[in-house]
Amino acid sequence: MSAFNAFMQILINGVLFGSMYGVAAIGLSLIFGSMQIVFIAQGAVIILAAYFTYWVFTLTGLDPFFCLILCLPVFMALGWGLYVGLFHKVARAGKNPSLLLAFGLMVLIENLMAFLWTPNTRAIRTSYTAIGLSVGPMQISFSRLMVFIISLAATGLVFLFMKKTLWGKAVRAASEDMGAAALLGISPRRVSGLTFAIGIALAGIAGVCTATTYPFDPYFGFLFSLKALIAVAFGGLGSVGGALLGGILLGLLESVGSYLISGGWADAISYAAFLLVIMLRPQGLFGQSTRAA
Amino acid sequence: MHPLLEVTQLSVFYGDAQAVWEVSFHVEKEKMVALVGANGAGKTTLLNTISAVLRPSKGRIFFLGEPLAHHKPEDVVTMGISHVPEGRRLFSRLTVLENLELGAFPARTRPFFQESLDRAFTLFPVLKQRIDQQAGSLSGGEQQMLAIARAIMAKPVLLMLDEPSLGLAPVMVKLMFQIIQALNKEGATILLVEQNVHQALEIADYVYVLKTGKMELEGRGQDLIRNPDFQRAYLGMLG
Repeated sequence: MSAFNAFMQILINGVLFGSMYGVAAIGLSLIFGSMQIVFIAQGAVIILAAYFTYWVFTLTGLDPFFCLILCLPVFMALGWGLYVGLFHKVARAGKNPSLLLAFGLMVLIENLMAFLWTPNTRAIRTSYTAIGLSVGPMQISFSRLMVFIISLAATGLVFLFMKKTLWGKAVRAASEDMGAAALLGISPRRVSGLTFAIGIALAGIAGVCTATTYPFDPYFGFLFSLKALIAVAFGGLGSVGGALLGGILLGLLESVGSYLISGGWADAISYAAFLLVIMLRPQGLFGQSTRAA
Repeated sequence: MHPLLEVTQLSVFYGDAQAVWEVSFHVEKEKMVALVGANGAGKTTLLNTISAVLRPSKGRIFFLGEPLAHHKPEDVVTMGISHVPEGRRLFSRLTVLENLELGAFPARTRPFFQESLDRAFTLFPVLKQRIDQQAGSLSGGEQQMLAIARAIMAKPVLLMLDEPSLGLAPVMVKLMFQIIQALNKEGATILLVEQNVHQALEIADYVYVLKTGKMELEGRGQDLIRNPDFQRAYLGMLG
């Protein structure tokens, strides 16, 4: 394999993997819009969804991608419940209590998973895990291609929801000015509950995708939250398409970084890029300069 | 027959600081009533309390004869009170049309959406030209028009306007008051908060004057203009 082909292969892998960061980032960005906090437990919820997929697959033999249909309503309900049951009451006390609650939730979910299912690394092996599609000299893993397609579809659906439906517009309005939205008859509780439900459902999708493509353990989620945060910073807050692009950019950065330098440097490179973007373009690479984040 | 809106003995606090002291006033159907007074007089606090953004510690508010006691802001607008808040508070990243669509958010108003939209564009033709622009890109006057248009999309029984002339060029102020007057003539009941006392006296049927949270004076516009105390304090005349 020539160096050029190898490099193309790296780029493809980066894009495919980055799309998963993108989905996690959209969820993070939505929840930030409604509560003004970084929902640090997002990664733990993703891993919870990965376990959900793992157990459904292991116990019933149901295809992990098919599991998405089960996972979506469950995680939407979880998101709604988390907001209405926990965060709505705490949000009135301010941002810091919400942030602490999110942190506590992360620790709780991580340790609960470790306690129930042991801290061992898990991975799903389906009949097609090893199958790759050949595009010229390049190999594309079938699972990763599916992940990419699902990520694009999820982004597209969220985008259409936000642009075309009255409730989607209400979500965008509430992220700008919750008080003004309430004066128009938009219930802060319902619109934030909906935002949370979508954000957690996106974590569910990212979880299914993780389970089908990578080995994971109960503590893998925190890193995921960080990566999603970096993707949001790249893309600019409040932009669905920007978050996906930010995720893909991060995936590219990591895979090129680990190819050119070494695997251990991949994280360092992405954090350095994160710092640079925060310092030089805090509105995000694709964000509008008018947006105060 | 009850007045449309009746406020009795209302007291409101911000934490420990009392902003409104046992204020009473009422608004009759299809009238335009103005609350005037200097900064810090409690005008905005009163509107926010009627909208249930703030809770009164004492006193009651009746709308259509029913007490507004345990309502939330989103219920008050559904009952028929639309509030154009201080500073307009548009959704700047949403388009003009999207802002108007959200104005018709309460379920009871949605069947009339097209009708309300046509009415808004008849009142404010410039908004029709800006329909797909982001609200944040409009001029100050256009933003104020959009804020009023967004509020009337909910087909309110009572329209509360908080300083609609604030920060506008004189020619735009004049236009804004003409539009408010036209809305009132069409049958809208209006509760207007203004620092622009001259204009408010000219167009309102009845005026309440607030000073540091207390009701100081009240009367018909033309009577207040002849009141020497009022002249000295608010119209800059030396008596």
